[in-house]
Amino acid sequence: MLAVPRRASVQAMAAELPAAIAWARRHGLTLDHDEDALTLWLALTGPGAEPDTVEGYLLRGRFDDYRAIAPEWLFVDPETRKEIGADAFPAPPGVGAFGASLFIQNNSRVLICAHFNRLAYASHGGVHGDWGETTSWLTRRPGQTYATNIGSMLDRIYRDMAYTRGRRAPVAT
Amino acid sequence: MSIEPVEARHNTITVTVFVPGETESRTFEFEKHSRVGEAARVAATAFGFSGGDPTFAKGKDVLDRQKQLVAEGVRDGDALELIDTGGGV
Repeated sequence: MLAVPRRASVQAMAAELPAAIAWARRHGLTLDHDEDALTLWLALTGPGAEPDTVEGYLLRGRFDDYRAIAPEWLFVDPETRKEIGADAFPAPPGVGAFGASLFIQNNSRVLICAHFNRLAYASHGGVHGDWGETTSWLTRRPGQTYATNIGSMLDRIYRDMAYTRGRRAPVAT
Repeated sequence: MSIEPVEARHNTITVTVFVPGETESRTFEFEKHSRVGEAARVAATAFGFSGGDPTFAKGKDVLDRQKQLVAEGVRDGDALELIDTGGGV
C-alpha cells in the first residue's frame, strides 16, 4: 500500500492553497482549510429544484497521500460537515459545462466522477477500473476533464454546479 | 516611443488572464476578432500548459471556443479565467 509521508502531503497541499484561495476570492466563494488535517471545504451553490431558488452545498477535499494519488472529493452536510451520502450531492441533469456532468450515480453510490477524485477509481469503490491505479491520476486522457492542482480541481467542479437542479433525492436503502 | 495608428489599437483588447492553479495573472493583448480557442491556446502556452482544449471563462460564463472574443462579450480590461474544457466521464 502506497504511503506518502504526511509531512510531504501537508507541504504539497500548502504549496497549492494560495492559488486556490485566490481563485475562491475571485469567485466570491468561501474556502476553509485545515492543513494539519489535510482537508479543505468549499461552500458552493447551485440552482434549486424550484425556479428562482438556490441550493447550498459543501464540497470537501481530503489530501492524504497527495500528490502520489488523487485527492478524495465529495459533498458533505453544509451545516455539520458530516458525510450524509447522496443527500449532500447535487442532482445533475446529465450534462455539465463540458459535456457529461461530473456528478453521477452508480447503483446506490453517488460520486464526483473525475480522474482527480480517488473515489472514482474502482480500487476505491468507484466505477473506473479502466483508469488503473489512482497513481495514474495525472495522465491526460483526451476529451476528459483534466485538473492537476487544487485550484483547477475546484474550478472544474464549480463549473458543473450551474447545471445542477437541486439536491439529489435520498438513496433508498 | 512608437506611435501606432488609432485604428490598429481599436482592433485589439487587453485582458488579464488568471489560472485557477496559480497566484500570478498575466496580461495579454489579442485581436478582438480572434477566436476564443485560439486566444486561449496562446495564453495556455504562455502559462506553460500543453494539450487539451483550453478556453476562457468570464465570471460564471464559459466562453465558446469557436466564437470571436468580441462576440463572446470580452472587452478591453476584462479579467478572464483560463480553463480546460474536458468533459465528465
